[in-house]
Amino acid sequence: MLVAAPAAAAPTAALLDAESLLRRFAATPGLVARFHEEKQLALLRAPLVSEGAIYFAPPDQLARRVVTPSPATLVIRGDALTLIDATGARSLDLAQIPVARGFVETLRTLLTGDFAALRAAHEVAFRVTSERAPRAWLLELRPRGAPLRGAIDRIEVTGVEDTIGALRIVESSGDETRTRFFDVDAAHAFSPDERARLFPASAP
Amino acid sequence: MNARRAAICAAFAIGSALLALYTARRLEVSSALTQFLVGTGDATFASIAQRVADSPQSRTLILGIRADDPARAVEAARAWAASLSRHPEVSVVRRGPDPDALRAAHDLYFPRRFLFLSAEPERDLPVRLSDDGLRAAALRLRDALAAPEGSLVAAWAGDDPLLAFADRLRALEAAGGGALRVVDGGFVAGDPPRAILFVTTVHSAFDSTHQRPLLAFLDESFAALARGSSAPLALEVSGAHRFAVASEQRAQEDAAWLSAVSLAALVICFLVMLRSVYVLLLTFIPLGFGMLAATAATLWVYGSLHSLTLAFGAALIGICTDYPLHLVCHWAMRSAGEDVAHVLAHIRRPLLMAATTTCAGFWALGSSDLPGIRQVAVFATVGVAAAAFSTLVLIPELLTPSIVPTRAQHRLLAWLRRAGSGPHARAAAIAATAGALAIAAVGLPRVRWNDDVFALNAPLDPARVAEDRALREAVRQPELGRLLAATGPDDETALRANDALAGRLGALRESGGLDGFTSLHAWVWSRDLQERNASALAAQPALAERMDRALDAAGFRAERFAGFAAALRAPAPPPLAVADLLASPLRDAVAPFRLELGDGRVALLTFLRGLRDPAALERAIAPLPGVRFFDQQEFARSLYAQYRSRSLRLVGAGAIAVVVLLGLRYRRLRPTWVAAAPALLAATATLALLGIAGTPATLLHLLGLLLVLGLGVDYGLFLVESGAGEAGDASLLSVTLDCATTLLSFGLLATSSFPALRALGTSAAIGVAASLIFALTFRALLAQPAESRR
Repeated sequence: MLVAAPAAAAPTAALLDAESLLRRFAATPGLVARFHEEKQLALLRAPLVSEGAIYFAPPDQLARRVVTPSPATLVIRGDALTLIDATGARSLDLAQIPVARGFVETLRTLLTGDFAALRAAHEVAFRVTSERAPRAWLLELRPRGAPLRGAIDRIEVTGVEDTIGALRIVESSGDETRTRFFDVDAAHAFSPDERARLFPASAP
Repeated sequence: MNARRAAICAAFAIGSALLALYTARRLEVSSALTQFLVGTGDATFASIAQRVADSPQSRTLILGIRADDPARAVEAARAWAASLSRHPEVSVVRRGPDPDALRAAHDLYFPRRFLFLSAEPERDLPVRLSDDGLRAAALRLRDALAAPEGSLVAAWAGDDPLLAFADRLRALEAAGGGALRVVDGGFVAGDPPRAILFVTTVHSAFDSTHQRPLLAFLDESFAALARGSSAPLALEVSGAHRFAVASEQRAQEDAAWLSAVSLAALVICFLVMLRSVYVLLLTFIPLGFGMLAATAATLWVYGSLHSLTLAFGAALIGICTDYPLHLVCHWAMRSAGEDVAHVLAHIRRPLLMAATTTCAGFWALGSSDLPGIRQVAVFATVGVAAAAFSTLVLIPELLTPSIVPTRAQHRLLAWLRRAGSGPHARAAAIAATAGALAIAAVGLPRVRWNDDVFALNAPLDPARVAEDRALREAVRQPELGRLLAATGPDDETALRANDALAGRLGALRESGGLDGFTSLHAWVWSRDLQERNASALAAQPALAERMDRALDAAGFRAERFAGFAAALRAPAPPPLAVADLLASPLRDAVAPFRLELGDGRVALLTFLRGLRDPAALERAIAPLPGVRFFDQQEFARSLYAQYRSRSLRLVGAGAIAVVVLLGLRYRRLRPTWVAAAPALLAATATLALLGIAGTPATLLHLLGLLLVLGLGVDYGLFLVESGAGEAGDASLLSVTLDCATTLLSFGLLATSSFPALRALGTSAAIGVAASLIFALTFRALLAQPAESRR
């Protein structure tokens, strides 16, 4: 689970809506979590499975390290995206890869708690799917404009109380990507060495 | 003013006006070095050099904007690009990838994806398309789908499980050097990161007339941008434009300062010696008329004028200052009652001799096979002849009775007479000759020639050079000065050579002899190679079925790849041609690699980065027909070396012609020696002194020596023709004054910060002064009882 918590636990009776949820996420000093991801593609009989870890340092540094099946690291610093894998390191233009862009922007916007940006880029629908404590919720985002709108049908974020549990991206083609988060450290303070190692400034 | 005078002045005025009108209408000045210095054997390199020098890459400025955040820098670059693109000197501004480029790449390459599978299809494809190879391809496809770009790959995978198109896109991306990242649609490069703008200008980077206003606009508009920004912005600039403008500005400032000092010194000299600035003006008239006539004549013969002709020719015509000065001095020293016609009668022959010998010396240059030297010969010969003509016809009409000897002249003359006479005069002449020959014997073997034309420019600002280099390295800009050319009678022949070259360069890069290269091979292969790929693919048995089995084994739904089977069954598409790319939105990326040579052949260029082993490169390309390595700096150096060595030989031939002319005139050894020796010994000793001083000699030193030869012969000739008496005194005065004015004009150039001007000034100053000393010394060998002019 991706935990957004500051030290004090929120009262279970507190209002649970998209905006208040994002305010709580914004208090995250830094985040480390493991993930399990499945890509269901029409080309494949079984999903593609990858596992690894994600790292987020506010306001705009995100790294996604895949351990299996093939080691690869995706680093985002601001709007610069670098992919490091067995073939070397290269920069990518997020504008050309809508699904990756959807993943990155959604996660980053959520974790920085920028509700205005989220609403500007997406039609937002939020509902509580289980009123019994701990309350479960579903945040559904449908891209408003190009280039995401043509490639992504919707993004579904699910969680419990102040935590994000999973992210599901459904593409217009029918393919979808489901990512589950666990072993979360939501109060991680990155040291300068860690920042330099996890979020290198540029492709070597 | 009497009727004759009025008629002559009017005739010259009208003639000058007509020449000026003709020149103004026809004037076309070129600066292409290759037009000036290339003989018939260097046409290919010359054509390539000219086109590369004027290519869009050469005309492109790289601007780097740094801010505390790359996104801010990119935003600033976006705002600035809009204003830059409106400047009339800006042709293109690129701040990010062309949004049409990916679509164009898909349209051109996707249908032909199987024509670019391998540069060695007969060797690679049987392995790659074997059962094991297809299994590996299926696993590779799985990994690609799992990557961040997986959604893009998924869109094509059904038709391209081999990832042929994805590989082509990677090759195109790598062709750009891989240094540029894209942030929010804008290019970013380097560490620390800079937002990058590529600004291509309309005119050449070396056209300072157009580049100076653009650079000023860059500075002003960036300053405004920085003021309006919430974050500090810093600008870095790379491009030849700045250096060319700065160099020209320094040259102009230098020339302006030197001209002002020179003019002031000349005015003072004429005021002191002749008490008249009017005489100074008189000496400029033949120079001006000579320049005008020379320009018009050269334009009439050649249709255009090279800037080097103007520069060299103007310097050579500077010899002609001694013609009007000689006339004025003889007029000033005239006997009582002697009129202009009488004075003219005495100096007409020596003046005509001087002009004839000078023209003979220049005319020898006319036999050169280098077009630039021939043009200089025409320019200088016509200029000298016109200056002599105007001295003999116009200047006499402008002389006034108020031009009389001054006290300063008398004092100078008395000193000159004492210096050039006495019992030791002959010994001094012999000692001077021996001394000059000794210096020549020691110094001439030590003369080293420096033919590096770039060394003639003023040193560049080290901070700007470092900034330029850092920015070019950040974007991995290829070096334009060293490149390879694959030539052929048509695109296909050149592409075949280019294919082979790319393979060899790849191997050289792998072995560390080269950091990288940028080639058209990344964009298009020869038709032959593409067709070989198609044939090798078609030769694979049951490829679609075997691919299905491999995909199924890797977990794919094989039925989703029917597009691949259909593509294999369909006829191979026509190979991609260079013309297809040039007609597409990818034109700007491809055009810099292709040149059409003047003889109908095509040259495809490959640009190198970090060439570490030139010998290995030469060995690698040796077996490839039509492929040549081109080092622009070395090429320019060899051109100048040719020009310099041929000029030196022609100058020698010219000097011999002058001696022969003088011999025919005097038919005796002594006067021939007195007339010719000062120039020959002075020029030889000047060159030898450079050798003794360890100063490398350059083309500009040679130009200075041409001046020395011309003036030196004039000094000797005037003294021989005048003999002793008042005429001899007048000639003594005129050659001494001319030497002084030459030192105050050309000699002052020796203090310039520009190596080129300094070289010209040094050799001219030393040589002209030595010529005068030798002329005055050798005059004693002609000592005759004093006699009057009458």
